[in-house]
Amino acid sequence: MNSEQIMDRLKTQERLAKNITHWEVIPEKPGEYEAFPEYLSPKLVSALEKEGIYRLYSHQRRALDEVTANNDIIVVTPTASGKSLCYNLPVLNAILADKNARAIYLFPTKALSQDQVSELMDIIDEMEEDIKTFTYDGDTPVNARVAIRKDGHIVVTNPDMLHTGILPHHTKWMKLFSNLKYIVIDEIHIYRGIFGSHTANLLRRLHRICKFYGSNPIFICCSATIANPRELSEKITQKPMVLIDQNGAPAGEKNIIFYNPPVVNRQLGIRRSSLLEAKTLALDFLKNRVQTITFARSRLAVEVMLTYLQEEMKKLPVGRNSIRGYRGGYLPKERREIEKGLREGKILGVVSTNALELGIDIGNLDASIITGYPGSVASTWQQAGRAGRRSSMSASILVASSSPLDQFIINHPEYFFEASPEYGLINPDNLYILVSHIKCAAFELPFADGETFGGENIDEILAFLEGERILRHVGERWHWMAESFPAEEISLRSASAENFVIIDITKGAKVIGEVDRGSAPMLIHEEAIYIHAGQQYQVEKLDYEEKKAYVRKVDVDYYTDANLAVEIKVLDVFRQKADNNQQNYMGEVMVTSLATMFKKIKFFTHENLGFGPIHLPPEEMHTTAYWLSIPENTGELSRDEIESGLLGLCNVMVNIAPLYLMCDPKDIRGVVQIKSPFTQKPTIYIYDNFPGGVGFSEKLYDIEDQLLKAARQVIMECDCQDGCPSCVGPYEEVGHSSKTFALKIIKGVLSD
Amino acid sequence: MNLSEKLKTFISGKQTGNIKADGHTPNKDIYPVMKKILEATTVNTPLGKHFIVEKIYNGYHIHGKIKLDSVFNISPEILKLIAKNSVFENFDFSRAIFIDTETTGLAGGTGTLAFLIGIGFFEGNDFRITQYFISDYDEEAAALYSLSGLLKNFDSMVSFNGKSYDIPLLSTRYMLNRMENPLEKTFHLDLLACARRLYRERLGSVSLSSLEANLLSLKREGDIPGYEIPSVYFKFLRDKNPYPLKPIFYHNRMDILSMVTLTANMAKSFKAPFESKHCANQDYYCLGRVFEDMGMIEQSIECYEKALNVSWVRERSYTRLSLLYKRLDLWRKAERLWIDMVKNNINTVFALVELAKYYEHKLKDYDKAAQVTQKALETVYKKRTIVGHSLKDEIAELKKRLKRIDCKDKGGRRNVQDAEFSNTGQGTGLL
Repeated sequence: MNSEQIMDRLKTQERLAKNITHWEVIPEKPGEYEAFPEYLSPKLVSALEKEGIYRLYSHQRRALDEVTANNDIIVVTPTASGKSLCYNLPVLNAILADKNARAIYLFPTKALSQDQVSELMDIIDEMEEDIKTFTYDGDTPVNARVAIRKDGHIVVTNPDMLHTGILPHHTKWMKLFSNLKYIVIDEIHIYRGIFGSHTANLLRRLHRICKFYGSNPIFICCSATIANPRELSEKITQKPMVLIDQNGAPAGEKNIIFYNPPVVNRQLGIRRSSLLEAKTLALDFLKNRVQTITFARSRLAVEVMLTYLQEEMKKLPVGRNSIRGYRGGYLPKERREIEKGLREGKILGVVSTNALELGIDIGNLDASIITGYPGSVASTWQQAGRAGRRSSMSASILVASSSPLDQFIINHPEYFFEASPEYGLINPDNLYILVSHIKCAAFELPFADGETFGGENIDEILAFLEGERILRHVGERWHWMAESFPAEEISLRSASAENFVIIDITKGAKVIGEVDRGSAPMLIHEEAIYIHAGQQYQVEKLDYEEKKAYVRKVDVDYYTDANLAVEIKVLDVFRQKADNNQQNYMGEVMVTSLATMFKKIKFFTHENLGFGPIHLPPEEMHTTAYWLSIPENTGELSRDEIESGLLGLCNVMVNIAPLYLMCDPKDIRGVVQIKSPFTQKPTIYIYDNFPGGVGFSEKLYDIEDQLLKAARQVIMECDCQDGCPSCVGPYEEVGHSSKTFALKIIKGVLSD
Repeated sequence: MNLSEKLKTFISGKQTGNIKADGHTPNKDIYPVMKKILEATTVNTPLGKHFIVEKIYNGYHIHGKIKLDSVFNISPEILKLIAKNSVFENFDFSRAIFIDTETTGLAGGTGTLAFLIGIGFFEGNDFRITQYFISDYDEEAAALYSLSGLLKNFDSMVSFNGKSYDIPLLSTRYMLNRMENPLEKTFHLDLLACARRLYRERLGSVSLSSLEANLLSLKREGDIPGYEIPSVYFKFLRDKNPYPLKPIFYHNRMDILSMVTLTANMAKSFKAPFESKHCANQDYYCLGRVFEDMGMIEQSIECYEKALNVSWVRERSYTRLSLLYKRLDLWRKAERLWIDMVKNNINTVFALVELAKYYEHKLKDYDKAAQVTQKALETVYKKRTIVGHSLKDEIAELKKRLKRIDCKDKGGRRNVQDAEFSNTGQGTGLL
């Protein structure tokens, strides 16, 4: 059977067909081509021709034209559309014309940068030109670094290395910065939230340094499909961007199938395991020798899936080794071997984490099975994009898990197939992040009086830092005045350096993970069951001062859930609007949370097995929030009914908001007040779970209508009887009839 | 809430209210007190003012039991050895500066600057130390300007760890001030590398203070530990009280004087290794290495032989000396050393393998070769029981050797010419 026949069977076999919630056929699309422009160096043209490229896709040509005309660009095209030529062509063409020209390539991860370097090297080797491309990251040997600083035409690195290894030592990189012509930022949609807010500030620092050396580089950015690629890239780079989103690459017919495993427990809203369902589907393809990639959400899930598939495949002549695993933690050599095996068709199937989602070259496969919604529409498209031949049809199947977001997407394909609802959000002016980078920037070059940072006047912050004895203001300049090296104290991947480390003491002592300070009282209080990579651990000791939690492996049939008393105090209102019956606000708040006690809850039955106290000091967090207040007499509900409805509504809103914010569900938190001291009314608060905020609540304020409508749909369409984790939450938490009350509240608020 | 209130909220809790903007410098004129306390005067340059402190020492000033001007007695031959580089025979101390900086931190990067730059140089019969000091950040360009002016008269420099610290740091400062870098000199003698080559085996630490104490019998009084220096300077920036700076200026001068006499001390070690009391024990091994690298074989052998009696470096001295003999085709001497080594249990396996090679390839005495190889194998086996890990490669290598010798032995009895068969590239042994 070929993939077409397998798909036919999917449609006809009732057991499977009844679980399919949507089947989208994206028709075959011919390529749109353009000739090489005349200004393209003949050397480059002949190198491309040797690689079998005789003309360009229209988006590649457009990118080349725009960049050559000195415009900054953002290219948004799907996986496997020849995106890297969009930056490699203009960069190589410029270096061929001027051997002094330099470029920086920024990739979010190391693996990705290595892959891109090898592709670039192929073209350069083909041209037999002396263009030096180097990866500069933590693994670069010290003795190679001097040569890279001096001679590297293209320096491939990541933001973390730019932050601690390059910018603070910019005088050693004089040659690079003096001649910096291009900065390439691939996968720019990854730079959102905290990481993106840091990166925007990192680029503010880079701009200052370029200015010092008299260069003004052009940015070439690439992104997966999101709602606001131009806005995000302009915010990160602080430059106006030309958007290129007309994909000229050809594509074969593509089938995208949404598959929802059947319900096994209606009351709890539990469905059959997405992993097992995905396994069955994948085997269908694999047994028929259809090359298939299966994505799973965690490293553990990858290993489990791999074991299942290999067990089955070993019964067949192709054998168990026709299926391979791929994830972080595998050795680079092994990874390269798997990638090659896939490209050459020697490997039939691969099970991967999202490690293979980004642009690593594995060729195009026939089918992709996605186990569980990967968390964002953009990721899902990237994973689905792994399947897709130019000449034949391909299939991607998304298998939903029971989580609310999965259930929402699987039942609302329009969110997926229509314009992307997902915004890449950052807040470069988050005060914590901003101040951190102003410190780094002052270390790199003293600030002059009146100098701005990211277009903003920062005199007050500089004066503050002087008061803290970190800067010294003299001779109209602000100088770094401390012994420390500020970049080393600041991680680009978290809002504050204050993480708790989790140490497994089962055998020796091994650090297994980190938990941010805000979540620590909830997750790693003493006696808590901490789950990491599918393994349960019990917290034996929490050293609050030293920020260390000591845990030991256990195997128990319960999990723990901490009660958190959250107080929220409005500090400042930035925006507000009133509609009919509701009032919406966005502003700054102080969140004080106190973990009071924890419950032990049995798996599956959710029985309460006991409880214990938590003795930890309250945590304060200054952040941004969106809040919504309703009249006390809404829907003629009693006080308790309103509370139950608000709790349920708040849960739904927090659960589906990631759909618009491209964030992890734990990046935002909700709190309900039946009589808010600020609004004096029943109020739902949703706040950014990061000190200073990263822009989520502002977006929620902008889309509140949409969010409420989506929440209504979720509640109305959920099959459960009286609340489940897929909608308002289990009734044990939100009370009976929360669904009904929540709907009444929405009805009172929405005017439609 | 305005920004500063917010900033305070953000920081509060982390630091306990030490925030008092005392950063404002007292507005009084600090020149009189700088003059009185530090004997500092101001220098006016086109780029502004800075301070300077000058001290003149007699050429026969003794620092650490050595006269400063004794560096002029160092012959070109010895200079080559100190630097382990023959171009240094043209090094001229009358055209050299001794340089040492005091900085605002040790972290490196562009945010660290040198607030005190000390330069020592000979002037006629005197040794002069000029210290360029900035009483605030905005005087840096002026100080760098003056330093450039001074450096025009010199083509060489001597430092202690300057190659990786002081010079890159100053080069960065020149670049940040958009000034031409005057530090690209013909010769840069970095004494840290020289001292490490010579004294590391005996002293362990080759920090300047360790060298001073052990080689020059110097004890500083009124000194300040290096790590305290940045914070003292930061405090000075705020209160402009120069008293606490005194030890820093002293520290900087002592460092420079020590560089001078340390150079002279090294010269003595090289010049007369066996007469001078500047050399002892482990140093002979180090000297042997330098002599060997510089092609001074006779001296090298002499030093190694002396080092054979020094327990800490005995094994390495035996090993290197035996290999040196081997290279010189002095096989008998080499053999004697290897036998000694086996007898005294010094790097036994190495010695046995070398003997095996010698017997096999040179003497073609296969019986003897087999015998020592067998012994080496036994030694490795014994080692395995004690050390624990497998030593697989070593054993395989020895077995291969044994087999080959065996083969040759038999073949040799049939046909002696076949002995040449040995040079098939397998003879690299365990080196």
